[in-house]
Amino acid sequence: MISVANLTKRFTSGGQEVLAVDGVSFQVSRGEVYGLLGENGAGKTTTLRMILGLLEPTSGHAEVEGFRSTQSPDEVKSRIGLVSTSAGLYQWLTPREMLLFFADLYGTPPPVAEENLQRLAEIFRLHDYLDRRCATLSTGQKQRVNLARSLIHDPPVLLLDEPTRGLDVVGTKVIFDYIGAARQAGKATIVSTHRLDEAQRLCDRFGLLHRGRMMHEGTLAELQAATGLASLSEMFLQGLTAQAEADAA
Amino acid sequence: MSAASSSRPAAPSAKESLWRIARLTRKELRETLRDRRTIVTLVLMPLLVYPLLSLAFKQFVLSNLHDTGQVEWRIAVPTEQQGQAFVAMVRQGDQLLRADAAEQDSAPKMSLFVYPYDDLTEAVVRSEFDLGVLAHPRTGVLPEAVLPSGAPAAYDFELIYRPAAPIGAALGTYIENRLRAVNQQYVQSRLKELGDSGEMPATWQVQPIETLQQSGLQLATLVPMILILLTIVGAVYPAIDLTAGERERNTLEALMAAPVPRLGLLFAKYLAVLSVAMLTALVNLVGMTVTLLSTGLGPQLFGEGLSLGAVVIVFALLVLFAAFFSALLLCVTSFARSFKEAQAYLIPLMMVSLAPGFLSVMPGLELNAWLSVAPLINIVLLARDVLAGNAEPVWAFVAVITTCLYATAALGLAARIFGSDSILYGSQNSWSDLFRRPAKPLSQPTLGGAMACLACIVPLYVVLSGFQAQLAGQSMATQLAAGAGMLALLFGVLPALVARWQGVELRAGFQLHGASPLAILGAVVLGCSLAPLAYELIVISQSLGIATLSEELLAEKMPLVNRLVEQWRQLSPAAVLLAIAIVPAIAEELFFRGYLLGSMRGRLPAGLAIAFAALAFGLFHASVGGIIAVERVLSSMSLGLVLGWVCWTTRSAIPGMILHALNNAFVVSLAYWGDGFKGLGWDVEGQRHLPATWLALAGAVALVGLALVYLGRRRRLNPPLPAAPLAAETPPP
Repeated sequence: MISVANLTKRFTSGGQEVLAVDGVSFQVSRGEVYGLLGENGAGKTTTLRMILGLLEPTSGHAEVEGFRSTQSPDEVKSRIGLVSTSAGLYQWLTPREMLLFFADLYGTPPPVAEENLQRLAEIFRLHDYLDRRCATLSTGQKQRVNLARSLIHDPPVLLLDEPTRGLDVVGTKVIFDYIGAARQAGKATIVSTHRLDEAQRLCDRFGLLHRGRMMHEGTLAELQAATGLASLSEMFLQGLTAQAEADAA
Repeated sequence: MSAASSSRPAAPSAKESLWRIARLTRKELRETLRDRRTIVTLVLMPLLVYPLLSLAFKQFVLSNLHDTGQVEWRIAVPTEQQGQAFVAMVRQGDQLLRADAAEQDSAPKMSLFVYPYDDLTEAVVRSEFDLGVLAHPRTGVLPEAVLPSGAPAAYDFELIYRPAAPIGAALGTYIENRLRAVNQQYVQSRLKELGDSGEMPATWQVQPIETLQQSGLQLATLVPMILILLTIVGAVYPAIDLTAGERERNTLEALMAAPVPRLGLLFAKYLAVLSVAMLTALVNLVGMTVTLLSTGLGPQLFGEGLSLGAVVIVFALLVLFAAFFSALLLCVTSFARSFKEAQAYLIPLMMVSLAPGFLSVMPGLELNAWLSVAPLINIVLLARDVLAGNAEPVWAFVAVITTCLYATAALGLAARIFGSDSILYGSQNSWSDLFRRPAKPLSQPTLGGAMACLACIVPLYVVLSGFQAQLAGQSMATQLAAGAGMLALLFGVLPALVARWQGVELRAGFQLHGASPLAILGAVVLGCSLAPLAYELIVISQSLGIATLSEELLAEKMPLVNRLVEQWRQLSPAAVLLAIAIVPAIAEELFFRGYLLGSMRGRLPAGLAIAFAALAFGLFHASVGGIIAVERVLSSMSLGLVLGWVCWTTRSAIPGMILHALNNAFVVSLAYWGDGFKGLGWDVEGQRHLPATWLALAGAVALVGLALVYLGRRRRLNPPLPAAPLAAETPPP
């Protein structure tokens, strides 16, 4: 469903060239939850943006249901729901107005959009503030509206970038439950996070990124067999140490 | 993997797309109109500002009005007797004028004050009185019978007033006219007594007609400026909020992640900005009109201008102005990543936009073929002409159509820029980025560095040209050396220093790579053939009226030009060619094509980059010896387009240098051997069109040159050059 092949992205800043993503490849199947893991600045968000077609890769490509993000961006975008922690809300609109606006952007017919809205309001418990201005919502409430915004068109593919940041325990559980439900519904999901414990409970397969490069990729069992380590945290720390030694040499 | 089928919604029909744009517009409007900042601009301004302004304005206007019946004139006299004599004289003069129907306004209210002190003049200066009158009687000079009733004698009046003050000037004229009438009546009566008919050699009647140029406070002249101000005021906030605001509140990424065409999004935003701009302007216009009518200033300011027809016309013009400015502002704010950045872009734009507003009060400026396609100027002049009732339908149509086209182009550009990854994820650069040296050498100049360099060169060029003009008394060799040195400094040394500072490798950064022999040959052919075509463009510009050098001025300057050519002839031809043809060609190509155009390669489309460099090149050539010669812009720009294409195609500035130098040399040879060229049908001095054979031959040879350059083009440098981005980007987290 999602196929990423040799994806590379270079940036230049102040005359310095930065290799943000370096030849990353992986695949995510229908009904699978893939954890894209790494420290801040590892290249997780850049990878997600290239899959969605918001950033053009320097080389390599990404496909969603057979459509390349560079060649058929609208086909790709219509199949993806992007949850980004940095996303904001329209302060002067209510959550209801905003969700229906995004449903319209994705071409969802109004009756279907209204149905989806009610379903998501139930899942994320939005009913209490569905008609309040977004500017008056708390951080957690805004995050939930943002989640609902990315799912209002019922996409087959979910890209979740740090989905639990800013949420309390109850909010985090709601997200976990939803990801579980998405798996059951056959959606392909990529969760980008630096919280490895959270990912270990949530994801079926993992890609460990460090400085834009894929260090390890596979199921937890495959990774344990390859590294001889039990947890993702240990694997990640081992990778960092090896990289530091290589840099020092 | 093959494209899989999926149950996504089918592509919307045209009708559905229109409905969707309407819904998107509704959302943008809903968001904008709920914002209290919009309400402040939209409602509070007309409610509060206009009544307050009118209070101050009324006082000012009253002192300008000629309806003297409304104003009290304060007149001081040393004694009551002098005052009575003065009033008697003025009243008699007034009666005489009214009897002749030369005066129809109601008599002013004159209040007489006895001021028996010595400082009458100072009292007038202090504005205690509008007029001071000293009356010196001349008893026995005239028979009592001819004096006005109440006037015991003839008088020498000394009138003390402030002509610079509007009320003082009006009062002085009023009194002088009446005293003159008394004298005239006396002369006529005396002549009749002597048996003369009393007829004067010259009599006249005055029929004053209010014309557009005569009155500074006419509806037709004020409205264009008001419309510019109001539509900008109305469009600024929503334009910023709906573009840069999306980025600032982090909603842009979610918007760009949706499968909706950017043009559709921008069009919905445009409709919202247009609606708010029109609404703001309408509320302001209504506020203004109500204030003017309620304070009584309207009829005095506009006369009969505030009719229903005028209101309809003003509304139609409002739509036009709002359509233009909404698109323009959206385009500019689409480049911005924050409110502050957008404001920084818009302030200069607003100041520049006000300048054409003043054109409406310039006498003699008419909407013609060229001005009807000049952005903003065309609608300003159209508004003036429509309200004055003398608009030319053809040019009015052209102005409206071209304005719509400009708005469409601005919207298209905005759609291209809005949400592009440099805007979506690019960080804002600070000034220090311009001066920061990169760790590794760059093979391509940064766009910011090239633009900063261009911005520095413009004022330096003006200043150094001024210094150069002061060398007029020096020898010709000194003048030529100074001119060549200035160009080398500005267009060669300065960009090289900036480039070095920014770590740009000079050979690659100035595109000084070698070119193929075929491309060089093509440049030589072009260099020998473009001068006649460029000259013809100058003549065409002049014949179309796009010229600032009149025939009289050219005729006046011709002896000076001839003298200069004579002085050149005293010098070595090689030195003249070096100073006028070769050094300028190398320096200008280094900057305009090597550096400026090079900085845009890969960052802007080829056509846009070449056109921008050519425009800058053309504008620099508009100045000839300190005189602005607009007619040269078209030909220089066209030459710049060819030079830009040659550089872009060959990836080298060297063929352009050869082409440019040969073209310059051709122009120098025209000066040297003008008579010889005249024999061949090329009359430089007479500024006449070239014979068709000249043009056909030059055109054919130029085509051969272009073909040779194309065949000798360089497809790609190996290895590809690493380059800095359009805007410095920071890797996303």
